[in-house]
Amino acid sequence: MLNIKRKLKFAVLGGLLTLFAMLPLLGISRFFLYLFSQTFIYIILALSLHIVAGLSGQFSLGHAAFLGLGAYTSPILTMRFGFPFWGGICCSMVFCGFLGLFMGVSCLKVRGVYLALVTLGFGMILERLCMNLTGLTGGGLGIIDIPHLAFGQLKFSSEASIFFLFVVIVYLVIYLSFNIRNSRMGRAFVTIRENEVAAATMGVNISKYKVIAFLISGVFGGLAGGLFAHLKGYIDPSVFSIETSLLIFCMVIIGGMGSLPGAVIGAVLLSFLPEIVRPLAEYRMLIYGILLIILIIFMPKGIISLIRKIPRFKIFWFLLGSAEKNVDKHNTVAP
Amino acid sequence: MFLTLQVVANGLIVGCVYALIALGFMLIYNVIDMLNFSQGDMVMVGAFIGFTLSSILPFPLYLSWPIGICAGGLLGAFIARLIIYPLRRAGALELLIIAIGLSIVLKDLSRIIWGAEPIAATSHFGSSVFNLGGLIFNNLQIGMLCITVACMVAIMVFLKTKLGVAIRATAANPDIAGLMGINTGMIIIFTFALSMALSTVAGMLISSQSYLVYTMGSHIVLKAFIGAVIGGFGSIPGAVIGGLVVGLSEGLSSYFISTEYTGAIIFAILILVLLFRPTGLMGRRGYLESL
Repeated sequence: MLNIKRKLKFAVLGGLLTLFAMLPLLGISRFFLYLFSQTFIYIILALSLHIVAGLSGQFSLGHAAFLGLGAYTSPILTMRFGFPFWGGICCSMVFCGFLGLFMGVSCLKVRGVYLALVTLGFGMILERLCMNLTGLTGGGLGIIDIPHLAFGQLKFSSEASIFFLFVVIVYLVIYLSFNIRNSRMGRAFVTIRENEVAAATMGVNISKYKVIAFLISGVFGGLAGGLFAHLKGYIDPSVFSIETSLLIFCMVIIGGMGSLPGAVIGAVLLSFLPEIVRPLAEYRMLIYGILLIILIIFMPKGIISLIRKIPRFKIFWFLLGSAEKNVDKHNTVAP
Repeated sequence: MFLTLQVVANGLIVGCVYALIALGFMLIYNVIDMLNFSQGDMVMVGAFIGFTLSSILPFPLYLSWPIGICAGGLLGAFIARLIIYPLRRAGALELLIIAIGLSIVLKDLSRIIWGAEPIAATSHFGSSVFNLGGLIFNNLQIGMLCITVACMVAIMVFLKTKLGVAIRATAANPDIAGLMGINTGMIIIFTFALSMALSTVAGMLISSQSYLVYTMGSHIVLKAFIGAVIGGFGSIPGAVIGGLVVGLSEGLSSYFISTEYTGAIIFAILILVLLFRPTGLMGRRGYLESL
């Protein structure tokens, strides 16, 4: 029963995403397509943090390190060493996986504030390295003219094709994260988050699963980073900045801690918020900050808490019923 | 050798300023569990207030400092009443988001008020030089040392008074403190104001040494954060030692290795310290109990 329900859920999600993927056919502007693609990258990053922070309860502020390392690895390998694109992206994921492993091992002993600062430190150290290893990374100027993705004859150079590719990747990442949550591993993560001592008595290997959470997170972060570099076309050390880490963190918290749909909603909202307030020009960031504060004051448990308050059957009617209800009404009115 | 000693002395003096900021950071963290990422921006606002009072308005030194500190404290109280007070029962994560939002708002407000151009430093202390047994200090460094040490001693003495004990009680357990008749909400607002006043002092000291720009907060907050963590949150000597360690390692690494890698080296030291002492050098005692 549960299995069928889950499959149904993914069918619905897939259907929605397919509908969403029709957007370019409606003649939506290239700027918005680009924005959507960027949002997809932030969704992947938010899910990556969701696994470490939301599921296993380790509040990392170092996700800019994953994004940055992934974003530097793929262009350097493809442009300087002639790797194919899929190889570059895979290497991004592998390198970030190793970084995650390393980060997880060094964070085993620390928790809370101390963990946040250690993870933050990884980003800062990588930023300094990127600024100074000029021969490899181009220093403060960064790398420019990064080519668009292409797999064999399949070239992703227009905004619409990138958008289609990212829809598929995001669907896969959401599917994977969901399955991780509902696997033996995901349950171990949640147990560790709720109570480490209880988890240990139940036979959960705490150290192992904490490190695995960072490892998976790193792989997702590396994927996002690789795609980010090829989408933007240039990359400089500012991707490592603390602002990036804090932004990803805000996405997960504002969406709703520990909830997968929450992370996705948070990512979408915070990627679009700057564009929504853009007409305010000079006061843009000011209003953005004020909105952030207002959001958290009125919804301390995230947007997902608001959605959960709506009774289930109403959502059901909203999704399926409105058209049928109208039909019913006509039937009763008709003689 | 002599040069090394000079570098150490300079590093320690800069470290004093970091220690002052770390102290404010730690006070807020202990009382409301808030990882205040806007501390650096509070320092920046303090620096701009000091700049406005001494350079734009014709106030003499002995007036501009007290007025600046009071203005900083009032601003802190206002901010705390407006956005921290409603969330005093929320968790650390919500407060962290508040701090991030506050940081963005403060940064952008300063840009709108004072402009995006960097402003050159104006020393409040003149420019004469002292020679202490071969080590050379300028007026500003002596001023920094005296003012920061005075502030730290003042805070230590203050935490022994009745109000100070109320702050420590709130830090230890807000619920029980409330049962003992302490108005914990007011204590939170007061602590925020105190922290903002300390940041203003630090900001005015920094502003007489380097240029002023609205983005300067993000570097400062990291150093204060590292200082507080190395020292272990929760004790005043810890925050002071942490700040001094940061200042010292910054000075030494930029002299012996490279200024380019300073930021990375400080973080490497931090990670090493936390690997061996996961709650910082003076951790575990906590809650402002150790004085």
